[in-house]
Amino acid sequence: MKKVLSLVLAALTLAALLTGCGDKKSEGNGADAAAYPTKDVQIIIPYAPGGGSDNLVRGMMKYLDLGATTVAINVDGAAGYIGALQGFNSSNDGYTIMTHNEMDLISYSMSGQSEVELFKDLEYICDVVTDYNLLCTSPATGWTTAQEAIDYINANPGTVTVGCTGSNNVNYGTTMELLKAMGIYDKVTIVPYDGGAASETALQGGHIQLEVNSLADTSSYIAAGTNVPLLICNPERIDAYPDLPCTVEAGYDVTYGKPRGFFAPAGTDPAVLEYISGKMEEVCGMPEFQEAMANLGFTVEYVDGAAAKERTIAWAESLTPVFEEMAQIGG
Amino acid sequence: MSTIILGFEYVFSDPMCIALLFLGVFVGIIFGSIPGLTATLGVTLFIPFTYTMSPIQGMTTLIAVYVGGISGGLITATLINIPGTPSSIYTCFDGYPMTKKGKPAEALAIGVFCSLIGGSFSAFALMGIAPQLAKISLSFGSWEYFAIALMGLSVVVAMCSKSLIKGLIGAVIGLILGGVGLDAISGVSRLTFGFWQLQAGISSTALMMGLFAITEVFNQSMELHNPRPKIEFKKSTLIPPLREMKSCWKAIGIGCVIGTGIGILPGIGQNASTLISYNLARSVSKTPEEFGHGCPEGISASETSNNATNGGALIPLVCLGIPGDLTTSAMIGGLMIHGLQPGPLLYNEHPELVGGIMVAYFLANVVMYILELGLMKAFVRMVNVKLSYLFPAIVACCVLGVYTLNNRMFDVWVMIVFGIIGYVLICLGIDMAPVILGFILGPLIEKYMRMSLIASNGSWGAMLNRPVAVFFVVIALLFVVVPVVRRWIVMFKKSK
Repeated sequence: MKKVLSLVLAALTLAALLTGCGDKKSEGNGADAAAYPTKDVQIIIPYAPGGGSDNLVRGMMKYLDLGATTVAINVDGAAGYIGALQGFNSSNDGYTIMTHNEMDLISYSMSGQSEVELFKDLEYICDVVTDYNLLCTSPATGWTTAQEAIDYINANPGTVTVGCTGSNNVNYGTTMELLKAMGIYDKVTIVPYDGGAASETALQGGHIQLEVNSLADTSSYIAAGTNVPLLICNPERIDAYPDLPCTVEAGYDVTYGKPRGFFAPAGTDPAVLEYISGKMEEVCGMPEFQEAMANLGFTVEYVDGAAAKERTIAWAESLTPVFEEMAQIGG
Repeated sequence: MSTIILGFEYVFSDPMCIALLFLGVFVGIIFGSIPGLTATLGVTLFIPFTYTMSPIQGMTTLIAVYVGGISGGLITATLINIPGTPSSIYTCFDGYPMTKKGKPAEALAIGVFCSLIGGSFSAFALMGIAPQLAKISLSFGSWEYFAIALMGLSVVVAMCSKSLIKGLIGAVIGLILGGVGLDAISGVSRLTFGFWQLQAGISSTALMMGLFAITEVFNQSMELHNPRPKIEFKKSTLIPPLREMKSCWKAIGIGCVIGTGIGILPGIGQNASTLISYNLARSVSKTPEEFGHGCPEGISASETSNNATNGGALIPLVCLGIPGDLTTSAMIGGLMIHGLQPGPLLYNEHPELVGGIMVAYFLANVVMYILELGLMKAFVRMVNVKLSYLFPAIVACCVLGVYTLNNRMFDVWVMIVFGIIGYVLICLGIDMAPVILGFILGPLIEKYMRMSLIASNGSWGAMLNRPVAVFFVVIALLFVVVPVVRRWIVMFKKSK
């Protein structure tokens, strides 16, 4: 009995030590790009298992062949911020990469939450999928077009609440800008929910009449007819919903989407970034992967690292006044 | 009804499902019963495996691990006063004193039996009236959530029977700890002292394992040099000790209803449901003074409600595609990876899967009961294992579990720091129960209060339009006022 117990103890202590020390790598920039990869590549997922980002990475891992095993690590907390910083602070030897979405990275920096400018300082590997923002209502309101909603709100100012995901972030900014463009910003109340699912639940329960939410969080309700999409934030209509008008055709110039991609700590060898993005581009071309992503409500859209970084910085610039305004109302 | 029959066919047509059911529950019990390795961790680690299974196999496995894990937590809670999983914290309060009285087998038997009742009650609710309950859950808005959380917090007065001041100190400490992290609405970092790792708040698993497991190890280590009295107990009974449970039916009823009810409300969770049930059961008990001293009612309330919450949380999942907690959101991920859209349509388009989930949940509870009864003989011996062997293993498991849950060392330090703080609090005579109460409910109250006020443009009067919310607030007031008035009456009589 004693022997067995002490053996178990020794094994457990060893395991604790091994896992506990595993994350303290300090090799720096010394990886040899030609030999890459020589060991497992870790992918940080800054959200809980089972979420959209988690499914994206697991779907990617199924088809991705880097020549080494990829290991998914979930680091959840503060709407993706904890994982983002953990990724940012990881060793830049090319063996730790991270999935994230640009709009949240912009939000962390521009809301003042983060001291480092994550969206500028991280290395961009590539964007692989995109998600869209929709303006939706529930069938209970009877509205089928954005104009009907606007007419009702103009006739009954102060009676309508609009849900969005989070506050002091790009989602809230998008909601604010869209409502302003529609001319109803002053006549409604925006309620921030702590997730797309929470906002959708409130819409289903009739606690809010409109919401700006992502396609991934609403598509199953749209299919069931319990969510009525009015507009999609995009310069053009998308193939999956050919009847859904886009914001630009309705005269509202609010087109922020929700791309998701892969990132690496600052200073990672460009050759390594290129190697990984090349492999990911191959996966993006596979019909199986595209179908798996469509099931999650994502549209596969490969954008290489340089282009992704460039467009993100442009978005951040155009969002600067929006964040300034949010800081004023939030303060 | 046809959904259920389809579900039975679906589950039983696949022998792998039945095998996974047993395996999952067994693994769950192991995770649940080892402090540090929580039920949530068990589910998290199993999610990637389910991706390669068929949808129903994956769902069955996750449900089984979770049911086993939540129930398994009662074992160490009862035998060594360390909750195996956070939702069995309240089982410690009465389970361990019963063990000390020489009734470890009875305490376990009550706990396991009540787990079965709670689980089965919510399984029948799930199979019978899930669509109706899902509608009710939708009608609850932020005012109702606020009122329920407030009601939970208001029991603190009734809870602090010994010393009101020390209880309130504990609750305030809990509230402050719950306030740590990023303020979701204004984006300001609160009480993070420059640690970005704290922006998501204090990890609740790390905090609870610190306050309960590490503190308890410190506390009991002080006694290590004394020879430990061997606890003598009768042969383990396999049937629930119905005689001891005569007084428990009220507590069981409360646990079933509150557990299932809180379960259907996404985002409130097991820990809140257990603490509300336990304290409610004490308030209506004929012998509230026995709570905390080995009262079977306490074990019943705690164990029925934490298992009933599992089934409750499945209701919005299968009817509406809304995740109630981490496990159900993992299940949503599992469905989507197989190309199934969880949502209102799932019920119509894949009735066999919805029925399968319901049946698997019910069966998992039965399997849990059988396995735990079978394993009980082995478990109960733990009570006389030398603590100097047991404690290092428990600490190692806590470190391992807390690290693995979010893959970072920071949480381990949090756990250790709170282990020390917990020990200091015990030395000062401050109970852990109000601390946990404040920590769990404080953030819920704040979040929903602020959301309600934003939606109503700052008007409290808007609550009056929500009768359900008003009802819970009135109950909350009664919980605060009645004990105080009672005390006054006693004092008034004495002064005469």
